[in-house]
Amino acid sequence: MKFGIFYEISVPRPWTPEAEKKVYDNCFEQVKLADELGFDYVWAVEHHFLEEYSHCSAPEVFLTACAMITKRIRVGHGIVVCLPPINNPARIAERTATMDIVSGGRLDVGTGRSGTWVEMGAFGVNPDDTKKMWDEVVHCLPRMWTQETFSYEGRYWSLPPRAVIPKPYQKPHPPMWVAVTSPGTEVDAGERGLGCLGLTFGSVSQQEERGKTYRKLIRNCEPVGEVVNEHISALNFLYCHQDNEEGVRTGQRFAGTFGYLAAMLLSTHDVYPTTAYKTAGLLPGLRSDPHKKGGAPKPAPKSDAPRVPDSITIGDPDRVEKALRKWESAGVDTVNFLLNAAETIPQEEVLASMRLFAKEVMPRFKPGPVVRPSTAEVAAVAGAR
Amino acid sequence: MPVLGTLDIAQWAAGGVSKFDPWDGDAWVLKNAELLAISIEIQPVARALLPPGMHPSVPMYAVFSVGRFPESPVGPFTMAQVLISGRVGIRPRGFALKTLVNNEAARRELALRWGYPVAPGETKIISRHDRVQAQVRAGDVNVLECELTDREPIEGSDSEPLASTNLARNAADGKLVLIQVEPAYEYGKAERGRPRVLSFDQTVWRACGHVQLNQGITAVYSQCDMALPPPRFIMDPERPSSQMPKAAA
Repeated sequence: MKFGIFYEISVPRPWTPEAEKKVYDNCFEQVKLADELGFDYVWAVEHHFLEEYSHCSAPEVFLTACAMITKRIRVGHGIVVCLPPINNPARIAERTATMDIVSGGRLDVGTGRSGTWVEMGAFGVNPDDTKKMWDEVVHCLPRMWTQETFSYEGRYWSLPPRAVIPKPYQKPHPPMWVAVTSPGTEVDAGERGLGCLGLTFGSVSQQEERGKTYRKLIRNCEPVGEVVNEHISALNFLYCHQDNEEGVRTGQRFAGTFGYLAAMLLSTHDVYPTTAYKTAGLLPGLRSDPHKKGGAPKPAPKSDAPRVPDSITIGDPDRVEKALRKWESAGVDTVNFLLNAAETIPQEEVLASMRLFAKEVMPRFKPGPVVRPSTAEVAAVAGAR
Repeated sequence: MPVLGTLDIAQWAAGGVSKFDPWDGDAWVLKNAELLAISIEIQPVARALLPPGMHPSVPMYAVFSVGRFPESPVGPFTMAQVLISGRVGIRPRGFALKTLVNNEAARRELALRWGYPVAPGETKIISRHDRVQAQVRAGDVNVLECELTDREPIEGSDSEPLASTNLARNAADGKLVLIQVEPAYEYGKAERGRPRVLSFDQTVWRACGHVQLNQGITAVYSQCDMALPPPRFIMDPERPSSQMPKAAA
């Protein structure tokens, strides 16, 4: 199993220049440490206008800086919003290729389509069209990276013949992923040969089921690029402490803050009825009504022992390991961790949690069969395009 | 910490709120209801219309919601509301500025059972091939005209009507309370379209000039059976129902 760290970069009010800088500086310190401790990935999302929840609107800048201060950790640009009204696909190809060069071939590209009305309403995106837009873009990206001259005329964007440059450092191109939140996106991932970048806090059994579908489909996929990235990652909260109760309590506080900030944002599902957004991403779990039939179980009466799902990676090293074993048995290759939210946890404690995890938990997970992007037999497919 | 509403509760209550009497029992069932909800983004200045117990959503929007209820325990009635979007804890809710109802018995019961801020008013829903229009009148004055255009069918389950929160005075102790109304829907038919507000009387709806319309989001028209259960959550309008976890440092 591999491990990554994952950034939304949440900044609590008041947004003074020093406060914003402090949050970014803390992230850089964590990234540097993660590189030294043996974490495999650092991911950063692209979000716009999601106040307090995510101040990560220029992840390519943040991640380039991360690449400059690290040596081996892979840099995950994801998700990149693959909607032409927000990002011109040629600009995505240029930016990612440059990042790959600058990082010395350490880039992974996570694609996605956004899930909030905050963003879509601002950029004039029709929510009904986002899956189709994303599909066009993911099919174009590898060709822009690999073809000397690229041209395209599509429904949502077009480009006359142009040399999209530079080309990525990795050959044939960086591994590609898709953010998997809505049910069914694992099918999109499998059919297109993309890695499954899990971004919800769903149940292990749900993950297992979706993972099986994905593995089955990817065996016979028609890859969008020249490499197949068979890989399932999941997202989790990490707070590791020698004292289990303290670890769970602090972890719950930070996870609760994350959920609370997320809940303020207008998801597309909240306000725009469409089959394209059947769920509000990670929000349904956070909003599940314990009093309704089929809702989450009622919280126990007041108790000194904090209650938390046993698949959440917070607590002492043993508890964190147990949680990870569940994800491992569900077929997850990598777990990416959120480390903090709105600076709920002091920086020194975040760093201590990372160190403890690396020392006590990481070694318990022997490196499994390394899943590397494999060059696919796609010459015929590519030639047919 | 996300920002909170800044409505002056005492001042708002002085302008008139309903008397609410908590109850338990079977939900009201409103069969064959016809609903139209127009959602429009609004300027953040509308935060002044949200109680301090609620967070504004990001971004804020208003819902102009009208309904025709041919069957109810008190006979047929029509209802029109203006809701300001927010969150109670993490749950999406809309603060009801005013509710115009045409049936006196319905007004009395809606106020007493759910704290709706009722006043007399008549709502018409007019269905045409290319649009669904709503006209709301208070006395002889048009106070709201809105419409859905470019009708297209959707699954009712894809729409999530914003549930209202009503500020009222508790009959037992005279305290001001915020009541969450949580209707359930069984859809027969639903449509989506472009939203448009043609006229809106800020004074009658107690919007105080703070509902400044921006871009439209969507409009939903539905025919459904609706159930109005007894309120489960009654809260202090001055304090958020669930405080965000506090930072350690």
